[in-house]
Amino acid sequence: MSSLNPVHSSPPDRAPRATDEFAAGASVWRDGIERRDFLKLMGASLLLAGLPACTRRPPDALVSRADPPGADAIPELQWYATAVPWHGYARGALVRIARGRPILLEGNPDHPESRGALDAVSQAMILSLYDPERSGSPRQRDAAADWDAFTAAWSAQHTAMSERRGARLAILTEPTTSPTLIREIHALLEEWPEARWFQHSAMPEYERNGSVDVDLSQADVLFTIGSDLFYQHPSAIRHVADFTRRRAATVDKHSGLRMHALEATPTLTGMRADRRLAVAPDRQAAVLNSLTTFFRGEPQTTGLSSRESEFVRRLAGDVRKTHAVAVCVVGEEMPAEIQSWANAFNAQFGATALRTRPILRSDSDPACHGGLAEFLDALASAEVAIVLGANPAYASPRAAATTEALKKVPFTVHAGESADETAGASIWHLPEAHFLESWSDLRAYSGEATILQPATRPLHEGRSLAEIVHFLRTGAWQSAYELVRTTWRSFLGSAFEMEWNRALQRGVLAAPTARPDSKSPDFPWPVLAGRAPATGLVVLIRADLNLHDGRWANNAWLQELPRPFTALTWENAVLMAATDARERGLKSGDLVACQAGDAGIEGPVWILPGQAPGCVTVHLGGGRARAGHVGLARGFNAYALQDPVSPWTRAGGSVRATGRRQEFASTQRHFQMEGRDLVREIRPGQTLRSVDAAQPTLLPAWPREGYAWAMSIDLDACFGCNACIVACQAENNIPVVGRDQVIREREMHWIRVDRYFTGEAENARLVHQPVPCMQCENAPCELVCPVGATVHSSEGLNDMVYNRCVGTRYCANNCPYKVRRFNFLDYRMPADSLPYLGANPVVSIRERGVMEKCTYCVQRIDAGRSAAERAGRRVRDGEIQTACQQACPVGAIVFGDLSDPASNVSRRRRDPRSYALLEELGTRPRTTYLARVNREPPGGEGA
Amino acid sequence: MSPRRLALSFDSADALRSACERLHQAGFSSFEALLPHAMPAFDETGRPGRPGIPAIIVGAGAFGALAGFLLQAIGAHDYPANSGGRPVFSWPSFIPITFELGVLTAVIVGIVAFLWRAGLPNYHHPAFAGSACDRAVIDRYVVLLRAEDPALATDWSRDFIGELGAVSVEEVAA
Amino acid sequence: MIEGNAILQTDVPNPARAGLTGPAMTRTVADIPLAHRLPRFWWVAFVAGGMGVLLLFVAIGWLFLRGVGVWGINRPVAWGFAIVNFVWWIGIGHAGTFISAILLLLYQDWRTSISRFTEAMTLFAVACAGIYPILHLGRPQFLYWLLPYPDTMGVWPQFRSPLVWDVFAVSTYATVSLLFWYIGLLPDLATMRRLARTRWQARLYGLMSLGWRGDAVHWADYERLYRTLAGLAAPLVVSVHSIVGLDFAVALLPGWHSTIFPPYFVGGAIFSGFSMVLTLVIPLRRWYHLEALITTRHLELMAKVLMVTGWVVIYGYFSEFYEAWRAGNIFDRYMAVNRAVGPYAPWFWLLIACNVLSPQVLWRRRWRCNPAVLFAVALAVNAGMWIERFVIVITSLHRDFIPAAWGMFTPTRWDIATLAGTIGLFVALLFLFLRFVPAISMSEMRGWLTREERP
Repeated sequence: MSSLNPVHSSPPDRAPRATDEFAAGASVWRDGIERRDFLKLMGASLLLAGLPACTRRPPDALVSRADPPGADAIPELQWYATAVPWHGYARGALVRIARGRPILLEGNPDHPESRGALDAVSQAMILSLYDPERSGSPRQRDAAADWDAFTAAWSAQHTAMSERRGARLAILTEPTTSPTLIREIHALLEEWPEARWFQHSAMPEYERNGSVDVDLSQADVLFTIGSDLFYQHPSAIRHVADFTRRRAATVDKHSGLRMHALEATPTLTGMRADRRLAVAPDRQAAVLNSLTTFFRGEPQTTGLSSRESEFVRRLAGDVRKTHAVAVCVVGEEMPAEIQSWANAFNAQFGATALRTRPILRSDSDPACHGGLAEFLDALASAEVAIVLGANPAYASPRAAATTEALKKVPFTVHAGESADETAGASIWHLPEAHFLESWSDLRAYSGEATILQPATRPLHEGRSLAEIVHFLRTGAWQSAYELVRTTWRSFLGSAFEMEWNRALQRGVLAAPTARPDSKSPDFPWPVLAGRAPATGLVVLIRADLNLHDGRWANNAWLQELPRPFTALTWENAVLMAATDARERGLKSGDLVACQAGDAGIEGPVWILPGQAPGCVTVHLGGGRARAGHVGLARGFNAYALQDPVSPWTRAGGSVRATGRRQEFASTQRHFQMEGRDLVREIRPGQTLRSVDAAQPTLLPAWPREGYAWAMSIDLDACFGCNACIVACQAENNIPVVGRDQVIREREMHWIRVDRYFTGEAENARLVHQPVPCMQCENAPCELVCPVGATVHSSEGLNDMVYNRCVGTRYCANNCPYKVRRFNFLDYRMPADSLPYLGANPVVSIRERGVMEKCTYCVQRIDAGRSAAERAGRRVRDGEIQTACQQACPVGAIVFGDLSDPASNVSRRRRDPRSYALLEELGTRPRTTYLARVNREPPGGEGA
Repeated sequence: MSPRRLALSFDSADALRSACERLHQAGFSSFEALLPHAMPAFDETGRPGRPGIPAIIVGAGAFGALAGFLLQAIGAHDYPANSGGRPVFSWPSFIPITFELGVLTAVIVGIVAFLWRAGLPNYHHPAFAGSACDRAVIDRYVVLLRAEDPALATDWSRDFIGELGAVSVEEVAA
Repeated sequence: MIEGNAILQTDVPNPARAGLTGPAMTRTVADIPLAHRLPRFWWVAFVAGGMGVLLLFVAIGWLFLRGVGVWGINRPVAWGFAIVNFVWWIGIGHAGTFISAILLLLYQDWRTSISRFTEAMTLFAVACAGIYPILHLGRPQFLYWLLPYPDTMGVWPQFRSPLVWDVFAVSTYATVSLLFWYIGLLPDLATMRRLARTRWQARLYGLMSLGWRGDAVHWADYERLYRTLAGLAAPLVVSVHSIVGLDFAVALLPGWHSTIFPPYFVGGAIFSGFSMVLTLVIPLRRWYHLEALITTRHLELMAKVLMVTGWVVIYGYFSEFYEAWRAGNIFDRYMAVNRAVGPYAPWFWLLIACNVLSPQVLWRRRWRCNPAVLFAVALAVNAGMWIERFVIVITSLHRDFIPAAWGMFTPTRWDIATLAGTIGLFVALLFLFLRFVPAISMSEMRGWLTREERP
């Protein structure tokens, strides 16, 4: 049951390629690589060659890493540096390979935009690799075809195309930073100057602010306006990490980095602010204008509510402290005029915290002929239309028009990872290779490049976009490996092979020097046109926190990942402020018709604390018309509400009850703390009762021997990004149970992030509390198990013995933290299914009727311990990292050995902020928390 | 002579009681009395009742309880797992099972002892031969005299039996 | 039994005064099984019960096929109907032994008329209860892991767990009840053999009677055995539901973690047991014309027991709320408030109506002696006791310590099918019993009657 059966579970190689790692290695050697690298390369090659029949030997020469934590611990594991594409940007990652199969994506410690951590969505990409419904082979008019057929079909087009120099050829791509792809596109445009290239992305314009980049490690005040800088941004991980480091340094002082947020709908970023003001978009101009008056020296708060003026006064006070460096970050969804206000703000207060970055994504590429609108115009006269990667027939406000237009074009090609809506509107569909199964290259938001090396042979017949573009131009196929190397020969110059191998091994190549921004240096304070109070509701459309623009709708992990704020899974909702709902007599779960202009959708209302009255929020990504059975028609399609001119905000909306109701698949039903001391908040410098202070007990203490594993979670760092949940899911083979089972409250995540709203409804603050197993020393669950299926290990782990469990569920009842999960039905993935290939081979897959729960990643502990024993030493602090700890971008989670007083976790346990959850029950948890810190100067209530 | 028995039926418990007393005085050493229901006061006048069932039950109960306790104590030490930080020898939580096993053993042993001493099950007995004895489990009170009883040989004893006031006297082939 | 020993004088008139003779009584009782005159109500009830049994089989089949997920249980409410029904049936199963054992020791002659019947009821209730712990398991095929046996891995059950205590308590109780019942049956089986009308009856009853012939010496041992067994059964009755109560009291859940549970549960058990006895006896004495044996006075006495135990239960409710208020523990307080006004409040108030209010009508002698009223109250209490267990299990679990983990419980059709199924099984067994076994202890009855004859 537990481990993979390599032989039978490996599908046959569908795409045989001539590969000889050893020859490649030899060539490396000729180029005078150091012996060390060569041996490492040999090692990798031999490993790849020597693995059992199941091994999907990756093509061409890969270079593995030896340095990630625990690398020497688990010999059968290999790490390869690569990057996860995040809307065209690179997020440096290490892919963990067990028994020849990629099983886990971790952050690349050397990568500036990931720093060893990885967000939930990027980690979940490992599941997409094994998605059985990922496009596997070309399709013609929605019928199975093959590459030869397409090659033939195109060669006919190709000659004609060459004759008319690309005339009436329209190509649509997504913005990308891939040097190779851009090189190929440019080459095509040079060869066929008449061809037209357009770009479309349904995500916010992350390049809007040009080359300006903020460096929070230099800022004293951060002011965000509707920005999700910490979560929904190409460099979110870097920003939130910098922010958290600054905060942690001054945890016991009122000084240090202070944060203010002005937003209409809650973001994970805004919820981190010391003071947060939730106002509808039409009030924001007034607030900002009032701020301007403060900075000009003639403070005015006329026309502001008391809460608004209080916010303005405090923000102005913080900003105008002597030597305070204040930066303002504006959400990409905000109107341009607010961005210009922010530019003025930054020019005056934030200069030292601003950096210029090279603009490397192709948005503003001079060779590009425009966006989706222009593409549609071009289609009118086009004979050949080619859509690469993008899915405009779904992910755009012009979806219907796109479908129509494409259908009129005689020869249409769509290339993408799945046969999506656009594929449905095209004649040809070509399968795009997953980034883990083909060679590619990408650049980070800050400019550093990463060469993406495949982690496995293609599971299907997918090919990379660069390969396809090259073929379109030349009519001949060339391997992505060669294309990428061609690109980098020009960049890396002499000693290419050595540089190349270094790049592969480290996963990062330095960024080109940034050209200083062309914009004029002085920014006048604009007077923002205070918009007249909108009639009706303002509808805010936002990219979904899990599915983004909907491209990941078929990823079951992301579908079942509880959204922050709502804990909703498998569907989206119309988020609404309590006051608005009351006016309309609506309750959470009421199905409403949400109208804006002539457009409208039908969806369930969710009453959301922290949502500004006067506006509702809907998220994209739902209502897919063509997707796998996982993503098909989940929730409603919010693109219907988008206005092509201003896609993110739409005034004059209305919400009308339909009289019907919908049951939510939400993993959390209750968001109030009910006066219980769960998420503790203290003032800077305040001290809590020691965690290890003796509790009255009648029980004699059990002798402690060897290691004493423990965990500490810093609630002042945690901002609720869910990265830990997905990391745990991937590491521990945690099943997805589906919408119906979630409604029945049977989700299986071993670590959950509890969320509580505090403060008054409109301006509510959200506090997050990750809850893994507490590994209690006096565990209530163990006492009541009739068969001793859950017992305590000598190292203090609360072990769950799956094959001894008879399933009385008494332990789950008696767990005050409710962290135990039960297999009410058979949730196992079938052993012959594709996702099974991605299962972690060292973790049991639990059968029906068995209890399970967080184990502190006991398999990693065992591996680390035995490695240390082989080396004849104790495990070093930080050598063993739990999956959740490794993924956490802000280092909120620390795991280690309590018996070592110098260990990080011991120090944290002694921290004055340290406390145990429900310690009054005398369970003596090994998992403890560090209290949140309310930095608001006494007087003003915490924002 | 073939062994025979006399079944003397009486229609009331008192008649039976007095008859039995007179039989004793007359020196009849061994006879059985069959009753349709329990007569607590009766066995004294019959043969001296053997005390002991309660003693056996108490003994068995004590044994069962001790065994039950040892079972748990040994089990806990044989595989000393730390469950909930409780000590291996957590005797208070052993009490319920100790009690239950005590009762269980007592009851089973008690019943077995009873059947064994009563010679039950026994599907072959003179009492099953005659119709008189049949009614002993319905409404009659019957005295079953052993044929080999020497006193039964003499004539006067026959008359004496006649005087006991039995509603019927029946010879039972044994 | 000699009147002189009587501790409690309950003036139930000896049926002999009403002119009932031993032979007449024997005929009345013995004819019910022996004469094949199966009345219509028997068929109706038995067929209804049989349908229930079929439903039970279907429900169990589906359960084993798909897993316990077919029920409404979830996280946090990991225990649902299975446990509620288990506790309910076990409780009902307490009246029989209580009547046979404790009333026997108290020289309550009147118990003679109902003891055999209630013992049978106990057996069947325990049988129904015994099904649930098995169905309840996620992996029922490993039920035997709860038993101490020399395992190849050297592991033993975890004897600190109340669930293991349950296994021993319930199995002991079932065994003892069965043996106690069978021993009490021996003399009557002999009688049945003599009165048998067909060879098969004679064979069957003769075999079962072990050749009992009413030897005075056997009677003497028999009496001692029976009384000693009663002496053992009495504490057993108390222990079983105390241990079931400990299942909850040992857990640290607000609403479970309370020292009142054992006595409160025992009270509740006898409460529900007697209400079930009344529910069955009132129609049966009518249908089988047993008014001479089971008199109105019997009903009245049972009604009194009902009231006494009812007040024990009421005290239990009171103390739960009092403790919650006095302890000042935020979790317990919330639990108490949540029961009264939370999402499951209607169930709570229904429980109060059934268990607290309805028995109070019995204060009036006229209603106490009115079979119709008594029957209605008994039904209400049966329902009330089921609801009580539902409230204890569900409302305590669905909102415990961490609000983020709170949830709700909604039963599925399979939950209900299983409950209905065991009720069917209970009815079917009961009417099979009436068909084949004398429902009243004839030998004890004779003893009682003859005592009246003596001067």
